[in-house]
Amino acid sequence: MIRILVLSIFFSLSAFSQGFINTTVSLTGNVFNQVSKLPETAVIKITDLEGRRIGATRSNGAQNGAYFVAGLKPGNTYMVEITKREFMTEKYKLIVPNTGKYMEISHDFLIKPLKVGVKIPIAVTPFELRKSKLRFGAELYLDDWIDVFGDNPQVKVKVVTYPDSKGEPNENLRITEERAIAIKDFFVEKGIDPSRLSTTGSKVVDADNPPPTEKAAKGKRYVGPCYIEITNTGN
Amino acid sequence: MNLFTYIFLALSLSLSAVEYEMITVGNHDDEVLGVFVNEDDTKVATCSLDESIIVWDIQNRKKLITMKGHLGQVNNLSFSGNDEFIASGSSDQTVRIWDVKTGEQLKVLKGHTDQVIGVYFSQDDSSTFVASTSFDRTVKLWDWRFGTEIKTLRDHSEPTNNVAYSYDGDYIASCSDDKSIKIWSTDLTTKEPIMTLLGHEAPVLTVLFSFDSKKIASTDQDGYIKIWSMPDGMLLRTIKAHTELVQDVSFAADERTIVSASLDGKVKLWDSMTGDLKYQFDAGVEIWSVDLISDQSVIILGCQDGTVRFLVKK
Repeated sequence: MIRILVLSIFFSLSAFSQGFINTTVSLTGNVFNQVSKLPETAVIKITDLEGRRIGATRSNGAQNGAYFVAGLKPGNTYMVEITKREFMTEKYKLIVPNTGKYMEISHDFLIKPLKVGVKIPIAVTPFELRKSKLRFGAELYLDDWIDVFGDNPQVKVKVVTYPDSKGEPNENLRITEERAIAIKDFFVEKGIDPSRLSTTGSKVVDADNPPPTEKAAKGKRYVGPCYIEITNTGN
Repeated sequence: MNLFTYIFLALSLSLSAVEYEMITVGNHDDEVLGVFVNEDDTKVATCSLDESIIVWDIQNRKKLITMKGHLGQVNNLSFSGNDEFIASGSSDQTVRIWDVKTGEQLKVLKGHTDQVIGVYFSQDDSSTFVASTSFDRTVKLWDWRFGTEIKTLRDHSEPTNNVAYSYDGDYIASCSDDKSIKIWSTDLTTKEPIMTLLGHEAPVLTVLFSFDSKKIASTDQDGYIKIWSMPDGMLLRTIKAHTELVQDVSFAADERTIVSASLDGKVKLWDSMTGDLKYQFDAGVEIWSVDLISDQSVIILGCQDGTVRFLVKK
């Protein structure tokens, strides 16, 4: 009787631990062009932190850029590398949550075209209205660019900034030039070679993304957009 | 007396049955875009174009704490079901989680690719999940403690505006410039909408469940409110409520009274079953957001001039 009890406990524990060990997490989401916002077909490679390949897949541009990667282990950290010809290589760190049951996690990726003249928007303008000093917390978005420069060492860029309003042209130029230099200085302080970076400001507002002229639902505060323009692909 | 006279008298009596006085309790430095009263009716949180969140004591009408960290206007916010946390969504494309007592920023959730417009905490005691909507047309469900996106829901064809979690925890509702409302399951795997509610003829700006999760109120850019039954999604009532867009609406605890506020400067209390106007007040300023405490004795307004105003029942 005792033997049966011990054996049943052993098998239960064994089954439990096997279930836990075999638990996997899947990563799913979509890949879009950061400039056009259109879906893209790209290669997605997953490696562990030692660079060992864990898995790979391809996003499907014809199906809204959807991708799916299975077989990730709970609690592990991985690197997700996304590559496509004429786009910058990008790497993201992925921390998989600890879980005892099958789980799907979701992440969308924006990839940056690599073509001379393309202007890639900095997701959130890192300045406050009418100011040219980088705002507190701006590194949340600028740090992403440090990684991109590291993964694409041959690329040279120009920081392009636009004013907050039509305003006085010379004042607009002064503020926007100061803003572009502030962004460049941030990159240089983080180790990017200054010869890869140039800057320019503007007297006039961004024609592609002008300030709103009328009030709509949920008021929008407009701060002049900032872009990273590709000047040399290195190819 | 003819029928119209009876109706007029009845309406006048019902309108005069309640009276409120308006008190300005404080202000943000810019437009107040979101207002949310906590579960036990003791605190209200407001968020603003000035990029901050303020928590106010409703009883004492005092500012308790200011939370800063967003890099853009804070479009909306929500208390967690256990009242310990606030989730906020901003034009900086992040959802952030805050500790209500200390004001500490606990988590920054990055994943949306355009500004976050709507955010709603799950209303259960575990307060683990947060739903968010963005101009990137998606609805995302987050496990904020892990900092992980659980699922991304894609079916809206235009930017999504606001989101709500049902109080029974079973559904998420989202609304969009595509004039639809979509109902989604909160289970962790289903990614297709359970149903799509059609009927609005303008972009739908907000959507909200009643506390018993049996009704949904939605508002649109043309000033209409619609009431829907759940879980069947039947349209119960359409009310031409305001002359300008209605950005916000809220249910009272009686599950029947709703309050609406609009850029036309008016605050109105409605009987959602009959569509009758129970009370109206002209605040004299554009109103972005509104909420009320359960017994309707205080209505809180978030105004375009940066003021946070209470309408207190006399």
